[in-house]
Amino acid sequence: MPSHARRRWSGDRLAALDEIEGAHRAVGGAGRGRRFATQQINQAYAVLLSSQFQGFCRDLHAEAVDHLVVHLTPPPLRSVVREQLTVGLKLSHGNPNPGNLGADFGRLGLDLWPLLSAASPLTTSRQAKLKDLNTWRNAIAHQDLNPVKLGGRTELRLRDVRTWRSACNGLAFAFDAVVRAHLIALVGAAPW
Amino acid sequence: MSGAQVKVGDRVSFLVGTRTVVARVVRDLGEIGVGGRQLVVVEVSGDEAAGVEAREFDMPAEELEVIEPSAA
Repeated sequence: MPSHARRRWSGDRLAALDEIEGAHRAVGGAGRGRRFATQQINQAYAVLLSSQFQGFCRDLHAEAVDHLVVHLTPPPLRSVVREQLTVGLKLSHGNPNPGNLGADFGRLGLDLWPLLSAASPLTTSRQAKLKDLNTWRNAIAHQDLNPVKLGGRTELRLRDVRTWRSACNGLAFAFDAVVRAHLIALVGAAPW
Repeated sequence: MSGAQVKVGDRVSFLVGTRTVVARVVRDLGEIGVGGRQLVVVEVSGDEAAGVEAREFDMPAEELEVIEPSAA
């Protein structure tokens, strides 16, 4: 069984993204007006995808910490360790970029990216796509669509966001498996 | 322990080690903890005069005692 975080990702979070896909299909008309409307939807889609993936990662981190500290004795130690593992998380306020993910999961003693790379040859490509997604997310959120930073263009295509979504989905499955294996190695019991 | 669901905005107290801490629930992470228990983010106020910054961290709801429910 997957983690609660991954089940929520595969349920509510992907459903929210599907609604944006539906909005894209629903835009009628033709020509410049439709192109402008779909561009706004594509941008909203990218921001929402980054946000939902951030939520998944934050959920997985919280869930992992809960499974880790529940094994600690004496029990009064649990809240002390929990505070140290979750205070000031980069994922609470920052993008789910590879650096922030590595830093937050690294606090659990997990070498996230090397382990993901060892687990799947697709990791390097997914990591690059995640970086691209967050670069665009920042550009959209700050309305700073600088072609120099965005691969020479300022127009976001639906297929770009779909590619990033597929990468995030692959990473969600891989994160779930790597964190599970790490917790088993640490506490000797399967968390999910 | 209250054992009940807590809500964003609730003022709560709990133990960190042997120290009693008072905090505000600032985020509900949902029922994603061990056995599906509710996890929340709490914020402990800082003390400007003492140079202590506010901090946020995760706690299981079942370890919190609500001392002042959210007005909402």
